[in-house]
Amino acid sequence: MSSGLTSDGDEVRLIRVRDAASVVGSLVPLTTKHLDDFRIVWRERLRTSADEDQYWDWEQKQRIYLAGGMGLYEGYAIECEQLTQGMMLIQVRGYRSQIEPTRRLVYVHSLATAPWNRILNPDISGFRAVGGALLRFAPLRSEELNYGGLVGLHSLPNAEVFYRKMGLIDGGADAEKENLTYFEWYRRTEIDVDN
Amino acid sequence: MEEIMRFQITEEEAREMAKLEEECGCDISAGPDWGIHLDKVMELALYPGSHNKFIDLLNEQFGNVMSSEEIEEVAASFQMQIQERLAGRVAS
Repeated sequence: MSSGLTSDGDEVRLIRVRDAASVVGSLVPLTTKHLDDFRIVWRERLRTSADEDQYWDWEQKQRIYLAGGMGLYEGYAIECEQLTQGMMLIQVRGYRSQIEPTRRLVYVHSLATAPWNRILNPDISGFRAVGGALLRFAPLRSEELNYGGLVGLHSLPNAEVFYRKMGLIDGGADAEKENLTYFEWYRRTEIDVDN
Repeated sequence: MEEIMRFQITEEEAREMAKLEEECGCDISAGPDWGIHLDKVMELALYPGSHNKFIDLLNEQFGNVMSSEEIEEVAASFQMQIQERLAGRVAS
């Protein structure tokens, strides 16, 4: 089950690189349309890049985690101008805060923006704020689940500086997760939420 | 009880995030996956001597959603298929 997004998705403003205009996108649950965009449009561009996620396979992620994940996972995408601009897979059960282990959190299993939206591969047809918008949804989902807005993730190396600037707490390199750095969006609460 | 909240990113928030992306000069991405160590996965999958290591890796990634029997079955099938396909490419 996914969050109670509106039927047309929730409005997400993005910034178009071409003219710096603000355009309307939408955040929606992940569907086969997004996986089709990945297969037909994203994949070839990723394979010819040197990006850290160049071999990620979102169709495989859908099969393993969403179709076979027993409701532990939820998938979301941002659409704009009829194309998938970013995708995120979150784990909504089974993860706890490293800072306060009695509290549950939403774990960002995978997050990626479309190849044309990446700062390191500048493209005039791209958009900015896609990754940030996906990331901002995770604490809201955590709130909905009564996890107090807590979110955890393992950053790919080149994104670490962004998470630090966003105020996430750096938990250091995690030997169990390919030595990627663990970050947590942590908020103290007066109520000890251990549900 | 789950409380449903409306999600929205305003133009102001989008511009703020865009500015942050530019300042950081990095792409926003997250998640451990085989992609970052695909070469290691291929090595483990291709060599029969690495079977146990491959199963360990699968367990690490999918142990929370698959049983050990399923993981062994997936590992055996994957190794066999990749070896057959590569053998086919070499022969053609």
